[in-house]
Amino acid sequence: MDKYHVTIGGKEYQVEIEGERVWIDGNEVYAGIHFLNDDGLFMLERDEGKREFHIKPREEDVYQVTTRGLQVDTVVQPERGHGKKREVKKDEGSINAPIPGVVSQVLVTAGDAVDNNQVLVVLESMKMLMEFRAPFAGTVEKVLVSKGQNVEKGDGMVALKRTE
Amino acid sequence: MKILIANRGEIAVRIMRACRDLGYTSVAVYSDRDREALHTRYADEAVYIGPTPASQSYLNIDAVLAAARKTKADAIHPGYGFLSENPLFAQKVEKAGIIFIGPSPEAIALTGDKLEARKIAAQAGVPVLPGSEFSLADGGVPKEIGTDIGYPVLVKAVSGGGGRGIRLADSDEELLRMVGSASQEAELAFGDDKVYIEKFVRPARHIEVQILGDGNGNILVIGERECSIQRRHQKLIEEAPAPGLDKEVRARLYEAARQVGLALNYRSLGTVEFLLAENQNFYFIEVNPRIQVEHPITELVTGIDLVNTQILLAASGCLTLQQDQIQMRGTAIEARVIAEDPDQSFMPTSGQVSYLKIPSGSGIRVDSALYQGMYISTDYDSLIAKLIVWGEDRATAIRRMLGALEEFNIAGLTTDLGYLRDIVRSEAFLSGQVDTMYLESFQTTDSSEDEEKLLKETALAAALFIHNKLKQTAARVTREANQWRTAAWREQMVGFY
Repeated sequence: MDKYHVTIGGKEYQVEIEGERVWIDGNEVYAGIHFLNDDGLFMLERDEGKREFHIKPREEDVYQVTTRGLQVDTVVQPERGHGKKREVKKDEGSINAPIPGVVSQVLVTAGDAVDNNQVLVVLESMKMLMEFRAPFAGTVEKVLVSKGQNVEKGDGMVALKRTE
Repeated sequence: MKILIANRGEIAVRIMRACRDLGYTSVAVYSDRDREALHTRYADEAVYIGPTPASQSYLNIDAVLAAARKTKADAIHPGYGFLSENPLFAQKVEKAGIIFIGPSPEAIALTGDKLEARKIAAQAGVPVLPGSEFSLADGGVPKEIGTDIGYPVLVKAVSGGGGRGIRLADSDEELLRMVGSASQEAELAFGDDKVYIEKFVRPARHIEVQILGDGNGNILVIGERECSIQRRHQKLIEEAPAPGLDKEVRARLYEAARQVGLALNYRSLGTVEFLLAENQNFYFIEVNPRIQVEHPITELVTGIDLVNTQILLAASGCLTLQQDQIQMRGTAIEARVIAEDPDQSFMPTSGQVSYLKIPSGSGIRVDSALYQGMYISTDYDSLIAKLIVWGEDRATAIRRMLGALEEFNIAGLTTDLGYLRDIVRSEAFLSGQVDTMYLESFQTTDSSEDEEKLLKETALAAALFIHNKLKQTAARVTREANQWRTAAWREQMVGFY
């Protein structure tokens, strides 16, 4: 039997597959899939009908799944070896530049205590000023950029530590 | 007649369709990034005008004019954004003996100076908001001005537009800071750091009136649009007519818009924007001297093709339409599909469209320049499609919009499609009770039972897909490993045939 841990948003599901038989969270269901092309388009076939899905890999074990009325990032982890679930690493305290730009303002320094939603850095990109706010209350661990600096997509700007 | 479209994206394609309708030849201009763009392929002719950054291509007046001369274009349509509100461009186009499909350069200059536009409206007897009658230089905020007008106040760029260079201030201290940041952003976006302040009315609805003028003192009013669903002064959902608008207030709004149009001796399509306060008083905000992003909703409720009409007017100089021929029927709603991530404070997203499903059916229209395989970059505006629906009444239009939003699938990058759906099915939107601050406090609702079920289906589908792919890969590896044996076996078998 093959086991898969699926995570969507904050919700976790366990899917088990053996031959033609499928269980979700321990309950056996009738489900099968039918590929519509080689590019991630397929149908899920259930008792009550068929539904079209599109799946596209984003990074290791993470897929963007699109279907009528829903588009979600889905983590699918096959149970590997001893059934140990690989932790999805999520660096929640890192404020990264989502697009290239120039740092227009840095409003915090290392060691500062910040409130949830407090503005940390202002980035200029596409002739717009974008404010980057603290996703939670915490302490500034590191400031990685300075005013006037160019940043690339994905560059870390501020490292925050959540207040325990 | 040959028309050069000095724009890109959905609006360029929209205007080219109008050209096709009218039997005119269309000319596209394109940058490096847009070599394969839909508008480049859709036009009858296409001219390269420069590198990807807009400042070197779509904003390059000389390059656009050279393209027009090279192709011997009779007219230029500027679309919205880019050079559409640049009086110098309009002037140069006309000087080159080419028809500018839009207002006169003088009217563009007047409406572009937001303080000047306020004055014109006030002189025409149209109410304007209390505010400064002079522009504030960076840092030089007169003392007491905020208190005189009464907080909260909005700081706005004199040369503003598109929601840029606007800040809200609640106190003297905040006002100083916001004047600094607004003027900085204004300098970046418009090359002019001048700002002014205006009283901030809350709650208020944003209602705009479509006008069409012939430049000879004739102004037609082509209905209104409700555009209160905005996020940081960027419209997301628009509707025509404005739901629940009092008949008498509507008539007064139309008259005010007409007066502004007359004062400007307006030519071509334009939009007069107003704020409607709770007490039903309204105030002039500004004039948008161009085709508006949300023009299709007016087209669907009036049955008038605004772009065709605009082009024909520019070609002939006279209006064929009469005010009493203009009526609104049913409700139309537009939702803007943008390449931004609502979960990441609306950061622009990019990526290749790996799967695309565009809704269709009765009463559904999609204006876009999307195609499967297209790479969406952050080089230009984030608007990638407009979904517009029409229904014989508001409830029908909303149901149609919800169905169409479900059907609209774009994979490969994150968009606001889910967020749009959450807004449209929210209580306040359904009852038509929204104001311009609605989205500032808008929270997406917790997932319903149906959604729980759909998430479970999705988990199942994803796991089955991955399972099948893993098995296929495993089978292929085994097959390849066995190939040499199979080959040897086949050779042995040959003798039997």
